[in-house]
Amino acid sequence: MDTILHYIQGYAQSQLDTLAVCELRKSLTYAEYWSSIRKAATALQSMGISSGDHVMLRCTQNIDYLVVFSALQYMKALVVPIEKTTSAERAVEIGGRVDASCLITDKAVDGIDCIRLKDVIECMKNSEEAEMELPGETDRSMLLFTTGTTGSSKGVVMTHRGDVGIAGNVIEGTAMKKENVEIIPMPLNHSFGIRRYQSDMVNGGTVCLMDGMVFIGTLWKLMEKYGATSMAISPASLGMIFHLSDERIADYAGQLDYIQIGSAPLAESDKEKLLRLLPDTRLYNFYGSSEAGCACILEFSGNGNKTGCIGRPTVNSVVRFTDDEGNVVENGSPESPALLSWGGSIVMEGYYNDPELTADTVVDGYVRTKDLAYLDEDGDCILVGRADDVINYGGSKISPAEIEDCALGYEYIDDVAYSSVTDPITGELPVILVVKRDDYDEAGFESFLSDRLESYKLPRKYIYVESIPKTFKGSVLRKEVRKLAEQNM
Amino acid sequence: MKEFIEMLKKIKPNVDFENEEALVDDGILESLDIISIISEIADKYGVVIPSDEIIPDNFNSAIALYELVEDLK
Repeated sequence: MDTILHYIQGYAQSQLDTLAVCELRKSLTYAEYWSSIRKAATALQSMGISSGDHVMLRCTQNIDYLVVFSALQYMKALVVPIEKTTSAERAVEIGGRVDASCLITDKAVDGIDCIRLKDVIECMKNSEEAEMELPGETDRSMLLFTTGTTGSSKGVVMTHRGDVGIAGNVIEGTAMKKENVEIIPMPLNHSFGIRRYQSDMVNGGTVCLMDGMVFIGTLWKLMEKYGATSMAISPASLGMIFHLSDERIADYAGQLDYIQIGSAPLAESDKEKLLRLLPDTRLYNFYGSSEAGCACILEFSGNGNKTGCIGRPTVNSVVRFTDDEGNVVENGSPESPALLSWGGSIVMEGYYNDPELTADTVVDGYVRTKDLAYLDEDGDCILVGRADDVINYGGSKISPAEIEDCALGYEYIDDVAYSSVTDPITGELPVILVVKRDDYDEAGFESFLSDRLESYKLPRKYIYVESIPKTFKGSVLRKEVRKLAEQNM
Repeated sequence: MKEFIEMLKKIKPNVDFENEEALVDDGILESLDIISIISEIADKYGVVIPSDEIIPDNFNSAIALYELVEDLK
């Protein structure tokens, strides 16, 4: 089918009493959900919103938000979801960038026309169900603002075709069962959260909404009230579960069919704990981006632990490798990894109002990344590092991630970052920053590394630091690390 | 109760804990504030809030939270 809405409409007839969306104290069946969407469309029309308008929608992480989100899609307005904590100033700035006609929000802000979400919901109650033609697969479905850790944010324009393609990737990738009931605490204005919701709608399953993971009591209540069988969470959410309830999640070992974890790398210790507590639950990590969602999936509960493995390409994504000049090359190899590109129906239409950046990013229908990778003999995609991060030591290329992965196996260190400093002879000189534990011994660490790495990969200097500069998601801040290394030489 | 509110104010100054009844629903307390409050209650009162009780209703007002802590003592 063409759009997520087509699926909701279909299930409203074929399985009308199945729950579509739930909160702790509210739930809607597919029939009720579809009816609400159509009534909200009538309400929004009466409030002055028309087809083709660009409408910002503040994420309130509840059913009302999803109803209005879907109603805007139904009436072919372009919905621009924004974070619930977006400041007034930032909302006005985004509004200007996306040519928004208004902001639908729980709290009005100055500088942009606002419609109160609760007024839409109130108006909806006395509205008739709108009768409209559903959007087509090539129509724009939403404009997502990426929140990259560097540079300015970009507006990713998605089509309905892309949304359905990505949903298919999630369904196939997780072997989602028809009666799946999924808990989503992740923000529904971000690609990870909204795409998980969309996959459940395509599958005809049930979504249980939570606003973050800190109110963990709500998680247990949702698990019990709706018999949830899966979760879509971030590593930070998982950390919160362990921090606030230790091993309580093990009580649901027989109930949880799978957990998908995305948006950041998962700490090895949390991964091991989860594997131990939920031995029969499938555990997945997705690799993807706002521009090309859920491109690869790794079932880390089943696969061996291959360094850098991001799993196999998903059903609606097409993997392609290129060299530095953009020429298509074969699958790469451990010795000569190549740049990853992703194609297929999952690819965005482009960046809003930025044809230059779009042309630079999407080539022949493939989203180019800076990730260096190769496909191994099992068809798994192995990430070697970012093209920007690779260290060139006298002509030999070294991936910091590979060295760090190896070094973290040494028991007397807490953390490491592999980097380089400028060298007049070799161009770059590899160094390693170490956060050491008690009983650390440099000679022992050197020996550990030399037993496991080729000699050219060994660090030429060991630098001791209190902590490694990282993003809030846990990725190493390479530029900061390099600066720190230069200062310590 | 007074002492309890003082503790909350140390974690999140400039909040009207005496009268506010929608600390969570209105977004006044964020995730990190909740974590800090749970940790401070454990340190100061020796009360570990069971995970089942970590729900918005128990954190929406100072009085609701105070009563929870009293019940758990």
